[in-house]
Amino acid sequence: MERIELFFDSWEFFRDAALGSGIAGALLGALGVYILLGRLVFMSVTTAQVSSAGVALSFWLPALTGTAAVAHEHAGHVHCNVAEHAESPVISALLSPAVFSILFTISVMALANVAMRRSRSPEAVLAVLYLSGAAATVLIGTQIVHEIQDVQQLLIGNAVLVAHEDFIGLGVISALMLAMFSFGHRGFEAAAFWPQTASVAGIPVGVLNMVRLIALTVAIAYTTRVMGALPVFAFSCLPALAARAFSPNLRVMFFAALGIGACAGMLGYLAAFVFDLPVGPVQTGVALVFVFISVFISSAIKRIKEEEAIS
Amino acid sequence: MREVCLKCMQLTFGHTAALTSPLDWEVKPGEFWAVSGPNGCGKTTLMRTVLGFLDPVSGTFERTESCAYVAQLADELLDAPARVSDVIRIGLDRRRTWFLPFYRYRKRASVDEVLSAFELEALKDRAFQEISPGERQRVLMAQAAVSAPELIVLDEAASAMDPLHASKSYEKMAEAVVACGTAVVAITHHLDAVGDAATHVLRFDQGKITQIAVKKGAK
Repeated sequence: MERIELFFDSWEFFRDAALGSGIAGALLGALGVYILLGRLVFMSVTTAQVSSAGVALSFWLPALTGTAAVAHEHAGHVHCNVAEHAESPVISALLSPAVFSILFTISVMALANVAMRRSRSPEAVLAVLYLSGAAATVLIGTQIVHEIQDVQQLLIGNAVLVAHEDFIGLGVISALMLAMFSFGHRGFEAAAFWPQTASVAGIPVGVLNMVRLIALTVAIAYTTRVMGALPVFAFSCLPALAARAFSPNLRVMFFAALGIGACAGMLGYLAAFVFDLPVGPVQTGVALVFVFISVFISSAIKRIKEEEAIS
Repeated sequence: MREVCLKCMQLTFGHTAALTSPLDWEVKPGEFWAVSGPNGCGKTTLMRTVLGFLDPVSGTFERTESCAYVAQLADELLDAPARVSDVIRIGLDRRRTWFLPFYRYRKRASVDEVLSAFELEALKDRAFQEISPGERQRVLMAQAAVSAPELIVLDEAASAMDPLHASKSYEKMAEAVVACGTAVVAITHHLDAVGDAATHVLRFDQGKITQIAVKKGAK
């Protein structure tokens, strides 16, 4: 109780991180519906891994290119303050960790998409990418000795605080994407799960599927930069899995996964503070608890209904 | 309402080379065509060509934009959670109407009408994944009919049904939409199943296609 009181007494200090966790959980939970049902789980973990490599690369590139980068620690969160020191504002913007990791991830995943369409084994392309991303992150880590511990903390999801500009960015991206998927859910559903029917009806299936994949890539890349790879992968699969157990249709599943993701993000952050544990693994654990509870309750209800039908 | 829903002019089709001799074919409103022939003769390839999934080898075709399609039942349809009524609602959206959060009342009413026409009221709230394959095909037929398009293409849409239910479903399709001027083209291996519903037959046989009017008054 004491720790909980302390948490809310220091709300100003933890607000951005706690709410940011909830927002990221809501965004990834809702989009996770398309990841889970579209059989893109392996793609999700690969995107997070590529994004991790992008984050590590964004810390290494300034040193490599000779750009005067100043990495400074700010309350446990790492910022590479390139913008203030780079000669060209365009280069400085492109080299900022957030922008760089998103552009890097989108470019790599776009190339992967082309390769997957041409390959007889699309999963092999993802396997190559995943392993390349994992190896690159470790290898680049050896080149950025001073920052690697903070980068690793960030990627595992142990960052205690979220910078205010990241929180604002997360809020804007989440609001835009959730609005787009809420209003256009019928189109995205038809394009994703009924492509032939939708195509004959004149619905722009190709455009909608491309928008969906870009949105998933941007969401995973940005949240990996802010939250870390582990909770991002957990939020992009587990809330949807929990919602799938009891949702009668895709619309209910979308909003249920959104709510479960938001709760897992915020409760996980609170639990990590109360029990003094790393944030990312605790958020993953809380999301898993939601899965077990919803699977248990929905199978119990199903059994009761079956028994009622028999009697 | 158009005078012709589908018109093929010297059309040949196939994945690499033409599978049949050139086809001249017109499907008019209110006609119910049964397309029949052995496996691999090109029935599905013809339909995929006129629906725009494949390019023709030669010749041209014109098709109404108001069209619905029932593909052979695929397992991936079972991944997304959906009630029977949700699956039918998928058929309501055309072109840009999907970017509206709610359906208009008239559209919602047409779901109830088609549920009634295809005798699916009892299954309305059941999960699509939990009903039998034959019932699923009946639901997909209702999905195609719900927006009252000018042309409906059915690709072995009754293959999982027993002959009695297949025949009944085709008759219901004829009653529900053909009477309103919709044209139906149904690929089937069993002409008997189409029963009295068909007004015409397009028969594929060793690279040749013959067209037969099977009902009095049909031209």
